[in-house]
Amino acid sequence: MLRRTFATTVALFVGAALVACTAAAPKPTPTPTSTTVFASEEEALAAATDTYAKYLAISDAVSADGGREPERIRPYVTEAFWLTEAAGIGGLVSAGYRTTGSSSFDQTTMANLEEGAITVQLCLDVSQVRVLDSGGADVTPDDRVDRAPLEVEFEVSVNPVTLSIAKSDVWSNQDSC
Amino acid sequence: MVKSRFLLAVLVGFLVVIGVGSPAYAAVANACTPIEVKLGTCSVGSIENGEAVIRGDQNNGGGGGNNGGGNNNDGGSGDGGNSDGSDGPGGIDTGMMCTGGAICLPDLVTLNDLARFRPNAPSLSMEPDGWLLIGLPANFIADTSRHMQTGILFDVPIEVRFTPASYNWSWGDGTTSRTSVPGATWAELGLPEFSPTPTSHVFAETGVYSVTVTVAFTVEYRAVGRAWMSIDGTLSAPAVTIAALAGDAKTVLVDKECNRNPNGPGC
Repeated sequence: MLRRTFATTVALFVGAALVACTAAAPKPTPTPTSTTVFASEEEALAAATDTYAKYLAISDAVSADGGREPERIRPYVTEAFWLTEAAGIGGLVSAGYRTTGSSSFDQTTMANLEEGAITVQLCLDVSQVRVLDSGGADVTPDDRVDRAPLEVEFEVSVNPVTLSIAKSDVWSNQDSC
Repeated sequence: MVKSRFLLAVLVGFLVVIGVGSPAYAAVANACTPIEVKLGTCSVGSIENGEAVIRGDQNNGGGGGNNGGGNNNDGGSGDGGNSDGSDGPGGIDTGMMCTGGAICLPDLVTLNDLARFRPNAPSLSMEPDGWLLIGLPANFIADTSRHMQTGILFDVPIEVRFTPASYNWSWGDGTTSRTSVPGATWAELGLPEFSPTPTSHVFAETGVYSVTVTVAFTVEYRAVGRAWMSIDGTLSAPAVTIAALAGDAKTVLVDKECNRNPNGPGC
């Protein structure tokens, strides 16, 4: 155990020394990010995009099942956001609705990157999703906004690196998407 | 119906009020999950005549809109909605369904309401493993622990927590007992083999016994993220049975082991 700790310490030290050497190079390139988890903004955005894609797929699965087994969503969201998520699921279950079709998102851009948090803006596209009542009739609201501009904040935890959705706010008018 | 319910949780609008990020691009902000967007219950604003217009009045026939002052984006601070779910300044009609933005549970949840939730069965083991000596204690261990289940009650996602409270033992010889502990191995208890323990039993006659344990759990529930509420009474996990061959020293130590290992000593 001690030996392992020692080895890790040595590895970290050597790693730090290498980084120091790199940083001391004549033309140091300032990193565009303050977070130490991701090497670059692109990497953080990729991680956020990947997490959101998985989350959205699970969200589609839960709503397709009429809100059954909502806990499937839980691994993707923070404790606080789970409250918001649960409220939406409650609305679905209460109405006896389910959905068909898949959601998608595009125009994902980085809005803010800081230690422990990534905020992206994206367009959530639900145009391919229909809402059905318990009898199978299409009850999708006529005035539903099919492309919603959302600002999604991810909480970043390390060891292992995990992104959890902490916020999902409409951030602009619908014309943005 | 509505009066019989009380508001346990959460006004999404309130979260919005305290959760709005940078005002630079949060001109129109409202918490929206993909499911709410799909249902069309999400308030997406549009700019008309230079004013932000919040569409929070959609009604999907039951889903309801978000109830909460957070839907105000007129520069003032929202009031977080009313804790009883009623309409009020800054609020939007929920259709009194207690959903869409608020979580409501009846004020009295009983065990019957939670019938669909069933605690997990324990696993039952014994030592010696599968056999015992008549006249000497055999030690039984019910392996279980506090656990949680998630599900939906009255349209509300809830969590139910089961905590083992008592262990009812049916020894298969016509006797029963109840313990408050699940039992532990002799090694864990620091006792020599064949010592009496709180969950040991002495069988008087040879034979095959079916020993059954039924664990009773106390039950708590909560709307997701809220405080735990306890319920009177207990729920029992499915009974678990283990079979044990009881013999004297010769039949068990020699005969049984000779079945397993015909070349063993004494066979």
